[in-house]
Amino acid sequence: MRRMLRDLDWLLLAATLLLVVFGIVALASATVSLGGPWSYIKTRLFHLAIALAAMVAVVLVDYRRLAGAYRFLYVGNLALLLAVLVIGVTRLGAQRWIPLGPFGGFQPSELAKIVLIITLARYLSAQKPPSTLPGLVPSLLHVGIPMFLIVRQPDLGTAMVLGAILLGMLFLAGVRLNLLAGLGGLALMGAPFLWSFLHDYQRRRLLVFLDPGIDPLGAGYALNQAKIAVGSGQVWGKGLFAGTQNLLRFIPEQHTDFIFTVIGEELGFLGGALLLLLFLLWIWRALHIANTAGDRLGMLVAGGIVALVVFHVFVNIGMTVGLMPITGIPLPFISYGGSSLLATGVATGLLLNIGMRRRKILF
Amino acid sequence: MTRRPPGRSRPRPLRSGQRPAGPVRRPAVSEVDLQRAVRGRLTFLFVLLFAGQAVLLGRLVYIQGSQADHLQRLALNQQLGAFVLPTHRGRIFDRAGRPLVTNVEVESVFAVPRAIRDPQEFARRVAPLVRMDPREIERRLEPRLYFVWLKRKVSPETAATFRALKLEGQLGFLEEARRAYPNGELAAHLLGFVGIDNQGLAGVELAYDSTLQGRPGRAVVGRDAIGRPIVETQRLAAPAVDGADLVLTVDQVVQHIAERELEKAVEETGAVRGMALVMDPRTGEMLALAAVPTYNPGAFQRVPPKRWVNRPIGEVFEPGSTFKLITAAAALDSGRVDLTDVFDCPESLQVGTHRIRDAHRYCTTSQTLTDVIRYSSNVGAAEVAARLGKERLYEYIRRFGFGAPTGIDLPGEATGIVRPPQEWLGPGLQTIGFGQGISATALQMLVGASALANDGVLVRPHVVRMVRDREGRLLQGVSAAPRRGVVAPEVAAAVVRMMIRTVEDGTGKLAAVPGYVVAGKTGTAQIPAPGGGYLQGRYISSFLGFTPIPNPRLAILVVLEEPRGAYYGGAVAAPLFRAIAERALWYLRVPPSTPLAAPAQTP
Repeated sequence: MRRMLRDLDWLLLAATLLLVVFGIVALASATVSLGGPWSYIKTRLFHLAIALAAMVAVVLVDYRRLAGAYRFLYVGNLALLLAVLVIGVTRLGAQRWIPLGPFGGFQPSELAKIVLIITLARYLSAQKPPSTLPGLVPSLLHVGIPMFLIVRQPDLGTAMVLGAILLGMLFLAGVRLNLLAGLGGLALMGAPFLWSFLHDYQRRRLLVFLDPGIDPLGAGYALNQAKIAVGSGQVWGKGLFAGTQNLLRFIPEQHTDFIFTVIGEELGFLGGALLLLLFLLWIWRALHIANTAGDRLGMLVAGGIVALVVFHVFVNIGMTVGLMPITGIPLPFISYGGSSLLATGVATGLLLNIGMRRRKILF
Repeated sequence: MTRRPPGRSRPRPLRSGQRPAGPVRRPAVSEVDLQRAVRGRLTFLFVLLFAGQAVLLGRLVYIQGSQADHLQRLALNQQLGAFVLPTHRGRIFDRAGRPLVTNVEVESVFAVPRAIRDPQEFARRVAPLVRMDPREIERRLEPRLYFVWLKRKVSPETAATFRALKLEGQLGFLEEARRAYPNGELAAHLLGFVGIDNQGLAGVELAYDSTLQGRPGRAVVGRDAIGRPIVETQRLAAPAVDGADLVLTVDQVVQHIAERELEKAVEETGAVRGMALVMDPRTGEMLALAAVPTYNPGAFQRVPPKRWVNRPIGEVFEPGSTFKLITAAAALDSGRVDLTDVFDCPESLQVGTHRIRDAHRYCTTSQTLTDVIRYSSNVGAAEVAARLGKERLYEYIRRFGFGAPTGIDLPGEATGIVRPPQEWLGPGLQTIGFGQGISATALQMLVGASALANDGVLVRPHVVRMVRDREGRLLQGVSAAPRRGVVAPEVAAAVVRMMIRTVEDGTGKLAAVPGYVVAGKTGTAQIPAPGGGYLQGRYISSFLGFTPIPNPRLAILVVLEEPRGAYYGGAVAAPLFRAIAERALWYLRVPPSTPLAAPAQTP
């Protein structure tokens, strides 16, 4: 146990806590114009307590035993996703939440990402990497079924995250690149088909991303406003609680998906770069854990988590600086949202778990 | 991994030794190898992620560095709104502080096209009140707009009718200030009028527009995403400064007297138009400035624009015999003519191919300069002018202010036409001597002649006496501003004496005011025809005079254009002068200088 504590990745833990603190500061500023930050911060701290508890719980149980319960995890996950479609509440035009009375709601799709990382890692680590297209089918189905349920909510962003996880983990597992390219080719061929399934607002977002000028007050609005906010922050920023784009509420969802605009506007390039460095530190530790894990299961779980967080960071920040189309996926550790924080807490717990059990001698 | 052409050539042989859907079994591959492979890919992933972060960082540098200024401007543009803080337009008072122009709060009606469900029905219902074609209204109701004026500055009754339509949300009302004229048409030409946005368009309203308007303030306010101003962020960029009030030199009562008598005279004589100007000859303060026909400045659009012209200062005419005063003063001042000099008195005077005649023959053998003025002899004036010569007469004409604006503080002043002496062809010198072949505004004539009543000093006429703020504190006073001496005081006094003789015992008898000494001169001018020569049977009758003498308080010029029947200035205009002078003197409580009972006491 002492050795396990010694092997605990304190740097990862520190990076996590710094990111969370960063997030709370940004949240306080982002919610000034939303009727006072206190109620938001209190809720955030409550979420944080739950997430930390979950993290500790995850650390205590050997990840191999956790992965051993893959059947239960997988089926339970599908059940939750189905439940959302049946009893979920609709907010912002999507049915993503399971109501939890006074605690608000729970968003199963956030946890689904973690569950899929564990179960897919379990599946891939139990065999040699698939080397043929048919050999990929079980993996595709493994991710495809929950993905389908999530698309139905609809939550295209999370579905894309699942796609990224699948791709990343197949890559890590050692699937040959030409096979992955073939997979990508198939996906591209399916794209027009997918287009017809998209909602109008989703299509507009994609078109607007290609040309933000076409609808500056409609679909292009958030994109332009986010860019204006970040850009007007310049090098030093306008100071906390002094961002005009933020306070005058030019940006929608400024405390959740678009929270980076508040950071960029008020803390400037320095704040944004600091945040990116914190993420880099976190990702570096996560990759280190993946690299030194005791078995392929640990490597794949840790690698999947890296793929997950990196995708989130890149897409989320990318959309606020005009590099990515707008998709509603949160910035890990920073965006306001309990389910997302819980998922990142569990993910961090898993990483710590894998990191401290990397020496085989113990077992 | 080596590049291979796309296709299935490589997986195919592998597939033969493979169970369906199961992992490939290759005995050489151990768990350790597999882990090593994963580590290799992790390294690759790390490089990829690092590159991704670098891209994000680079993008931040681009947006927050090189594009920052541009985006900052965009942010300010959409976050800040500036709006104009309106001012109160200054009021206009007469010299005694009686209001001539004030403001009243009225309502204006606008439509909210966005809220209108059925534009056709809406247009149909408001059309009778707006007095417009329903289709035209409908056309104006651009559906994306929030604001379209329907009718500005309506009466309370009309506003109530609009309200009774029960079109809440689709119709709106705004308070606006409208100029109010408590005296209706009084002094319309002088005061001028304002446009729908209270901008001065004519008269004093135009000349003093910026003074009356004040300086509109500017406020800057933060706006939220849907453009609503955020009150807490409001900042005053420049405070609004209300417009100043004007106190005119004009006396409401004198103005009223002038207008009423002028109207009466125009009616009685059948004249087409008329003008009456009253000035204090010593200060240049205008006491009245009247023109007929006039209009209501509150409804100026209802008359043709021609009628807006302030003709006493904006329209020129040939002054005719009143101009002989200038000729006489020039003759005496230059020393070319003496009071005792005697001129011939022929029936007519031949100048080149032209024959100059007198309307009536007062003399038989000879006449003095006084007689020329007293009897208004064209022949005599021609002889005097000839004695002066072109250059000298021209010099005096310019000195008296003809051919140049008087500088009155009103817009639209005409300069008149004074040709240089080398262009005075044929009998030009002689005819100009009695006021033909030269043109001037009524004001120029009055101001020029008034120098004779002011010891030979020309003054600048003006209509604004002082500028006050809304609390009545003096901001700026206007004092009498002498321009220059034009003739010697003795010369001026001598000409005034001739004018007294004119009223006592000459062409201007009908101008006499019992109890006061009046100095005056009649004028009967012909109207030049557009193609040369003069219009037959159409005249301009005028009378110019000062009273009381000595110490004249009033210089009055009355002009009646194209009277029917009698047209001589002495017969038509002199009584109008008398009517105005008599009432004005009484109103101004000027004590009579000569006993009423002893009219025969002339020197």
